[in-house]
Amino acid sequence: MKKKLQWRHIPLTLVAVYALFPMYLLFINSFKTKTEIIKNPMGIPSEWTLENYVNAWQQGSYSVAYLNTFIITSVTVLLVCILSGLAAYALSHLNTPGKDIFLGYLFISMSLPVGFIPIFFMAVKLNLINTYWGVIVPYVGGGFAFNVFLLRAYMVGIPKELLESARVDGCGTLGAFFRIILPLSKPAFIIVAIFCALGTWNEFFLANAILQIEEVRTVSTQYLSFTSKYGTNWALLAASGVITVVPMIILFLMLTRKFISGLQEGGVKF
Amino acid sequence: MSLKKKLKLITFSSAIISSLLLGACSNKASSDAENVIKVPNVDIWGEESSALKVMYDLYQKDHPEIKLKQVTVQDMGTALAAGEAPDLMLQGPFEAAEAYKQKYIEPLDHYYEKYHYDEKMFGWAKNSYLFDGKYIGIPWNYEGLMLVYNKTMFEKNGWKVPTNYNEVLNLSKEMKSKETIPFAWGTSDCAGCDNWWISSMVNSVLGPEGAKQLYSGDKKWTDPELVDAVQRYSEFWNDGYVADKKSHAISTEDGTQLFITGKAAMKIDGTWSLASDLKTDFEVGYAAFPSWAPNGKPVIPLGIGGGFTINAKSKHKKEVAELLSYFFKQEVVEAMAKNGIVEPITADYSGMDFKPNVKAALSLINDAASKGESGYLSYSYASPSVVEVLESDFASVYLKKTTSEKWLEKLQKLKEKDAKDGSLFKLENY
Amino acid sequence: MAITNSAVSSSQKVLVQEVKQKKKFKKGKWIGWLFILPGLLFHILAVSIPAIMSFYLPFTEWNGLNVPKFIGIANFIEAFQDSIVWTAFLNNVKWAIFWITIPIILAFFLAHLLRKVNKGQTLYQATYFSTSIITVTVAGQIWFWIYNPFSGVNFYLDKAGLDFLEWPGLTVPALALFSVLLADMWKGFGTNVIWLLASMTQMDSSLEEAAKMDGAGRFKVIWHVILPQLRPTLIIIILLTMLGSFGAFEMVYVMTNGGPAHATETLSTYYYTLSTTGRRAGYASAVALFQMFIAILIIIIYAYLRKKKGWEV
Repeated sequence: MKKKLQWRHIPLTLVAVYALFPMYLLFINSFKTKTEIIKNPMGIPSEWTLENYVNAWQQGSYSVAYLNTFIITSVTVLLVCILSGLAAYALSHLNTPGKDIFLGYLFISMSLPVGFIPIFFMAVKLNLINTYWGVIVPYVGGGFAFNVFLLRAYMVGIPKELLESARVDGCGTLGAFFRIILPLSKPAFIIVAIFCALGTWNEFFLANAILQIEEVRTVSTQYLSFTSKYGTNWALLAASGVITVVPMIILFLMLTRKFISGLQEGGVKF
Repeated sequence: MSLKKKLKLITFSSAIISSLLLGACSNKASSDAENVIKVPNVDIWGEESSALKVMYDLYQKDHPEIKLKQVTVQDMGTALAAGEAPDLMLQGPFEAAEAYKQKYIEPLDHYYEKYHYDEKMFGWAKNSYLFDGKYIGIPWNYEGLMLVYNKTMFEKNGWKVPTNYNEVLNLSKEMKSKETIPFAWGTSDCAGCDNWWISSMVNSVLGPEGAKQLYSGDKKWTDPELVDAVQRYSEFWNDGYVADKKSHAISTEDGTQLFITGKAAMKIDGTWSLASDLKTDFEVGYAAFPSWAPNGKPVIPLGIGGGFTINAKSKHKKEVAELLSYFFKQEVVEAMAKNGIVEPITADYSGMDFKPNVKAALSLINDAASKGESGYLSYSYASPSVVEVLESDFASVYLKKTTSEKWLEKLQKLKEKDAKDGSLFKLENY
Repeated sequence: MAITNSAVSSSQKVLVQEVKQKKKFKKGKWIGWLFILPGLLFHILAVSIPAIMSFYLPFTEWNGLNVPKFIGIANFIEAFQDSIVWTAFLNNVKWAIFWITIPIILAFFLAHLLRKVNKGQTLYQATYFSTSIITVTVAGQIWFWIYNPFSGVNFYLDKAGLDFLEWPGLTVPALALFSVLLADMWKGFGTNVIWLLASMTQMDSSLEEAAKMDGAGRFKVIWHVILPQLRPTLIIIILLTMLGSFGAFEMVYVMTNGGPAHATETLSTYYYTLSTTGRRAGYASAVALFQMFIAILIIIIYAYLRKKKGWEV
């Protein structure tokens, strides 16, 4: 029996190497000097240096970028949770007329690939270029349908009797939301919040198009500032790459179980 | 309501309110502050644009009450549309023309008169920004394409700098037998750079006058000489003489690395690259890029790299115009030339202290221009639809996705379309 | 008489209840939409209006700065004749074919293996999933390094004396798309592993036991017992993957920008190039409609499967 289990680890580990190798590459290259990377692209650095991090941090104005991304991500996550949560509640427990048609519409809207031209154009016309709202609105609006579905699927599992008894206790509809639904749907909300944060932090294209001036750029777009006309300093690039992904990695490590169980819930619900 | 409930409600609503407020506050710089002029960042083109700093400093000294704020703009078109563009902008001739059509930039005739920008300016340079009878910009440099080679390696092997296609071919064969890649090249992040080869081909095979006719006159892209030249390039590339048939999969920096590490012996580059200090352990040589005609003479294609324009919506137009007059001060002219990007004016460089390679390159260009051996860069002078394909699709020829004839036919059709739209460059002004 | 009485009173009760429900109904009607409205507003701004625009723009010519000019169906005619559009479309199809086979099969086998592993299930899952959290620009850059013909994997193959074994990476146009797909798979396969594993743990193990006792070989067990139970999950994964394939953009853009010579061009990268540097927003939107066509096709397939075959999803 033991032998059987052991052999399984071989292919699993091989794939794990495939998964981790690129990140290892990024990590070690950030500690090499620019010239060493040419001579030794994938090995361990002969001299470990921190100069790339210092330079990358300054050149990429990461202190500002971090602040911007943090604000944008927090606001987006907060709004998504609240707005999608309320909507999901309305679609699961309140007898909202037309809800089936509405759900059908939401479903279809999820499958439409949204081109970024119209969003961009609207941002220009509404004067939202270079503002946080310019990206927050598309992020929140874009995720609305999917998150509503997710939360609703979870909320449907909450027995109606609980709500009934809350109503009997004199709770209004909103109160029922806060007292019953919210606490019971916590796992689902956490999942939504985590994935929303992840997606927003890593979102690149819209942020690059809409947030143009340095004061409002996000972390993921600052990565571009290391490719100048004359060439790419691979070492700086590696360091800035690490700076870009580290917060999400930390978040991930802290919440690994929640991440995994979140996805599992998703799998189960299907 | 119970206390607990009240607290919950308060935290909830304050969360919403603060998030709304945070979303609204957005570090947007106060753009209309008094006496703040937004100008392009000195790092916009790397070392190349460092001369801008000299200009800014000179102006700042004379006008301490005005603050010059450097900004970086990702996409000028968007910025203009959103009203976020800086007061002073750097735009190429075509860009400027488009912007002017949309009334985004200010005609400068009035300021030319006031500040005499064109005192020493080359007529043809000034005319590159002539549009609809008005001067809409100030050209800030002129640039050309040249051959960059590993002088030390050449001397060691007794190689001569090639001047025409036959010599290039023979030299490349010999280099390959010695395990050296003839040409370093990388286009994965700059498909448009392939255009430089075409500029060189067009000018050397058709001659400067022919190139002129090609862009704006009667010469066709399907001219048999051109077809032959392009075909020969495709064969040249496929024989592995250009980055060992891998140029499309590596970046421009990778290409440069091939040269710096001595793996490749030559490369084609623009005069702007003189600004970047290639840290090599060998001597770098500059020469006119060899003619692509089998027995021809080299022609250096020149063009205007970019120029200054003034934002029509700027509230500081007069100040910007004055700032621009500082561009022609001796210190700035020197700084520009030091970096290998020469202002398009007649200037006396003899007294200036340049790096030997810069000196060599400058005299090269000056020589060619005076002897009539300079040509026209395709990306500056060919018509828009043609340039678009030149800058994106040359790879389909040497990657054998299409034939040279078909590709050139496509270009000819686009040129005819542009002619109908009236968007051919008016090279008669030259 | 007792019966009639209780019948009357119960019908009275029903009546009262109905009235109450009607009242609740009226109140609920109003409140429900109130809850939905704020989020819906964002949705309308970010999805609905842009969608409407995407239906209007293809009939115009627009360079992003001026006012769109109505030109009828000229864009569509051009799109059908544009070889790049067909190349891109084919690439999207190849993308879909790759993604619904190799990564999913890989994920399936990994999940299958993980099921029986005692220690480290979470660790493995976490490792596989961790690749998805890397920002796409960074991920694309790393793979570009790996594929670099001079300093990537080939560098080491060379050193090891195996220089006849050249890893083509992005150099051979025909294989470039495959190389990008390999990188994209790296980025996205983790999620599928977790989903499939979760589904597998929901399976009825007695069925498997029974099949094994009947002497069924490993493959047969997988085919006849495991796969059918995973069907709902697999369907969703496949449908979502297909949808996603036609929107494939990020990794391609970062690694090759659709090159070389359009070998890796997808509908989305072409759309992006057209609308930014090409400044042809109208034509770009027409190209984007090709993507929408696939989305509709997939929805139809899904609806058909749901209704006709009664598959529960």
